[in-house]
Amino acid sequence: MAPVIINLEKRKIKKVIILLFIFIILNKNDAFSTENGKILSFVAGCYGCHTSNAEQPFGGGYKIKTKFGVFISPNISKDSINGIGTWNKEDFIKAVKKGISPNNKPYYPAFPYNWYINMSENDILDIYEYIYSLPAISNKVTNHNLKFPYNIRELLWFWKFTEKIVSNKKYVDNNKKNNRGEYLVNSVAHCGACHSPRTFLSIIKDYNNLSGQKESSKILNDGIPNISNDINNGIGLWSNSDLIFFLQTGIKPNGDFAEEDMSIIIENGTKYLSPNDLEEIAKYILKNNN
Amino acid sequence: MKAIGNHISIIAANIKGKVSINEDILPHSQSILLTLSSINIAKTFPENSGPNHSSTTKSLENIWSEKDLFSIAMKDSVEKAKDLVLSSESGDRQNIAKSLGALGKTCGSCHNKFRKKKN
Repeated sequence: MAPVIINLEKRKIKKVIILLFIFIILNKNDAFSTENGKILSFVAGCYGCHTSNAEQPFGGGYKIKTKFGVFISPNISKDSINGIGTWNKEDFIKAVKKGISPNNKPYYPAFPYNWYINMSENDILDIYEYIYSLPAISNKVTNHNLKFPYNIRELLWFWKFTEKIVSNKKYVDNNKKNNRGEYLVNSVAHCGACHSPRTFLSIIKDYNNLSGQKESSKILNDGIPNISNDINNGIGLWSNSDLIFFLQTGIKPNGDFAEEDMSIIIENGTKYLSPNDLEEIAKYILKNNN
Repeated sequence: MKAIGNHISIIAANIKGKVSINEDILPHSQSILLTLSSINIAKTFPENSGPNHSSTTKSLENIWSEKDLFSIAMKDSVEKAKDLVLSSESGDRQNIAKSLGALGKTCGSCHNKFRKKKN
């Protein structure tokens, strides 16, 4: 009997070891995706735009002043009443990629879903997991304070339709090799949301144009600089290390500093990118020919 | 202030490896500290020299209306400049970058609050 008992014990131990191994692997994957989600939520601006109080991450209430009025970012913490606690993963992907809420209402394009449309679903779900790993924030956010007629949300369907016709939106090819920089610039970090010229109804005609916004076409109340690789008007004279250092510290090659929104974007976003990702961004921005 | 920017630019170029890390960093850090700590707010920003009285100034009116806040911001920059000198003395590139970034943050924050935006 004794050898049989020993064999049974051995089998049990084997099973326990295998289960432990599976548990460790699953947990490792979880940790990885949450970490990726954390960094992406910073770089994509989720944290920066949806946090008005550092002690209430993703609790909303951040004010974005535009010529259309003031947008007030919603609470996207997992709170079931005031946040997105009742959303499932499909709801989240639809909101991020299409700009449409779970009850089929269009979001204002102050939420840059037109860039996120090119994000991989895995990356979006990593953000979802990260947000859901944090405490629920019960902060109740007030409505946007927009001028007429921009306060009529239903008009956004018309905007979406017009935008589809007017824009020659550049889609990031996620299957293309070595497109990490393009993916980060034109999708996750949505640089063009500020740095691409806007035309009629604040529509962006060319999503790959980073030549900035002049006084007449701006969405915010300031001009936005040209960050293309143009030598005269853009940042074509910057080296890769200049751009990387800027995105880490906000310090420009001439010793001046990032201003206003860009300083916030660096502080809450780009400084968290890995050196490799920053290098890919620099390669894409400084060597493409816009 | 432009002089401080020039010193920062040279230190940054060292950190980025555009020039090899060398004895240049320490004197530039010391110059930043000296310049910042020598600023006498009352003399550099005298009364009646704000945007309501001068069309050429880049200063915003709140330098005068929020004197205490401006003074705290300047003191913070001096403290960060002291840290930069200390890390420059150590010669550790990572520490220098960290201190320069921290100083840059205080400068940028002050510009955002108290300087007209560049167009």
